Amino acid sequence: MKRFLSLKFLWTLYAVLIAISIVLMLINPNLPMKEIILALTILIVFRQDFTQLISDHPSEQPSHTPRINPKLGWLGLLGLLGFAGIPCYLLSGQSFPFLFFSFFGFFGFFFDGKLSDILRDERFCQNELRANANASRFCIQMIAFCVVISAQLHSSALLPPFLMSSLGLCLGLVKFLQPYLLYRYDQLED
Amino acid sequence: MPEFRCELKKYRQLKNLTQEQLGQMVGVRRETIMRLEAGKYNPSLKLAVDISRVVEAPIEDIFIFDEP
Repeated sequence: MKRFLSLKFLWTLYAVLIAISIVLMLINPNLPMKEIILALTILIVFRQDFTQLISDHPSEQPSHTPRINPKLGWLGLLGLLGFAGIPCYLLSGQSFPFLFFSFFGFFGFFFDGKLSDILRDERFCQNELRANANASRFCIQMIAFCVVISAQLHSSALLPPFLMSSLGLCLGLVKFLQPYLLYRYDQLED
Repeated sequence: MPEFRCELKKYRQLKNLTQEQLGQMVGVRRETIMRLEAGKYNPSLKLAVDISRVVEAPIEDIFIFDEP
């Protein structure tokens, strides 16, 4: 319990710092904005995971899955914002917009919607654990692969955009794979 | 590896229960009962005990592990 309380405290502190940063940024535009955007991007994509992590009752599972509209999957098109990184990098040398590729993970809402408001029985929970484990394993393999590729790059100028875009794509992929694999294991697998 | 067989359908029909009704009584979805009856899902001990209580049959008669 203490661990989760301290996590909750850290989480609250983090949220407050983010809010203060936004206010400071609005007052003084010279403050670096990219760090805030980076933090907010990760925050938005992984909001649900963080919430579960800091929950006071992590062992208590809700009896039904949340009701989600599958049309929210179209939010995945926001991932196209990642391509804004190309002109941004060429014009100002900023590579942080490549992280917006992580929004492709919102395509997973298509599958979340198909599994919305159903009973979380023991088979569903087993499939959920299996899907999360496989998605995370695949993501770690992808990140390792990208790190190896980045070590082979001859031009150091290409390193920041490559690392940022691969990180964004890996984060998006893991967020998409979790609901997709869960749907596949739960509904399609014999 | 022992082969898993499930005779749940026979005992469920003896009690005149649908898959949906049995699922509600033991707290699982109809799909889980469907896969159980097809022998494609290996249940937890708790679920197996709950099912055997509902259909009033010995657990070893419902869930059978055939030695090869």
